[in-house]
Amino acid sequence: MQLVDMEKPGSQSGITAREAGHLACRRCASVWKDGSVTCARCGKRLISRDSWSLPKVWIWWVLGLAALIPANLLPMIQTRWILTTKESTLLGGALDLALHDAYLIAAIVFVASFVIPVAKLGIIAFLALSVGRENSLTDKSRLRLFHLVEFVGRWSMVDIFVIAILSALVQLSILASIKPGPAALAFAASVIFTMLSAQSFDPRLIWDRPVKDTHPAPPHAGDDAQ
Amino acid sequence: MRGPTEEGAIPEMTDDALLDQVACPDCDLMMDAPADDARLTCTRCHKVIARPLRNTRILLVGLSVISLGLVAAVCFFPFLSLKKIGLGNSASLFDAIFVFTGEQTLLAITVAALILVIPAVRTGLLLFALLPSLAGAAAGRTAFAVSEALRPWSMVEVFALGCAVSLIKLSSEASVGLGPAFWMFLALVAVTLLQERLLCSWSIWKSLDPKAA
Repeated sequence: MQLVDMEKPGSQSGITAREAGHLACRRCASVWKDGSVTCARCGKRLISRDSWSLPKVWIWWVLGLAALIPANLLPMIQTRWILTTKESTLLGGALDLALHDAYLIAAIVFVASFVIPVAKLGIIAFLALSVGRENSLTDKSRLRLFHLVEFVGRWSMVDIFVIAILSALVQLSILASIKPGPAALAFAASVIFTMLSAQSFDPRLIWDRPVKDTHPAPPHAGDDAQ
Repeated sequence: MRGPTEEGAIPEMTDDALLDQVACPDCDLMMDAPADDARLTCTRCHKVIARPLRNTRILLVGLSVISLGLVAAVCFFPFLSLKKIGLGNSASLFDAIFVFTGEQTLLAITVAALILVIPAVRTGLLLFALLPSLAGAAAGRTAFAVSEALRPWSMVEVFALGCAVSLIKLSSEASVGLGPAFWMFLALVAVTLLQERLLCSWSIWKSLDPKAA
């Protein structure tokens, strides 16, 4: 049997629960007739598309971005070596490494602590803005971006854990000690807010076509206008 | 807000749920529900929706018990130790958490939650849901729902990466010793990853379905 794959991205032979007039449960993947209020299998409230998804994304997004500012401006770590105490910020630390010719480590620190948090916020903003609009990326690529942000999110906490381990371990009485600075909490908060922002995004919105494309003038065409 | 939809558009539906169907949580595409033990991947976005494996329940129960034991043990034994020209310090995970108290209590609470409290609570709830006789099905559903919601916030493997980075940073400056809790923690990471591989939330939800009982 020959199957010719002629569909445009996002419009395949299958039908979504929403197009069939059903409600899907995002927690346990079961499908319910329209009009059901809660999922009888797992108890989750059933909503075809949560109209609060994007507002929630943006609220957490703004908080994540706001927390990133003190995370970069305040000292991340205080190092005491015998009698001198040094405070270093995220970018200052990376710059310091570069000035000491440790370019590779400097690049890794810069990417992990600055580029990735900013890129995550940028991708979330792009995904949220692209909902219901024409854009150059296919639905699959956008879902891949979403999965990337969801996957990377928790790994950004590694910076905080390193500071925790270093501070606990480097307590050598008069010789040296390391203490977390105020930026550590701000950075942790930014990671958490960014994760919450990504979690608030409903990836099913990526695949929804404007209702006009599938049915001529349906009664609930306003659903996509968010 | 949903507008009214046409009645009777799909006549073969029963009053009940459409339990012979599943919808992809990531793209909403409807597919036939997988048969027992069959793996199901979304035909459009390739998300793995179900990957039931035979007899994983007892294995998951065992792994949960082991990981609860490891979380408890890992707190108290020395985790890492540091030596430099005669001066030394040894830290347990509790030290790594409570070094933040005082000026940075909120940070201490966050770290404790992410690497110890949430992993332990999540495993406990999973155990509760896997053994419905412990709790009754309704409590089991709540327990599993919370356990699933906590999944991204349980960060033992991220902390393991943090250990690796810290070791690299310190090893050039001083000599670092690995304590018993360090190896227990690595075991905890392995158990957690294995649990993640074996856990199929679709089949657990199916087994917790009040109608299936």
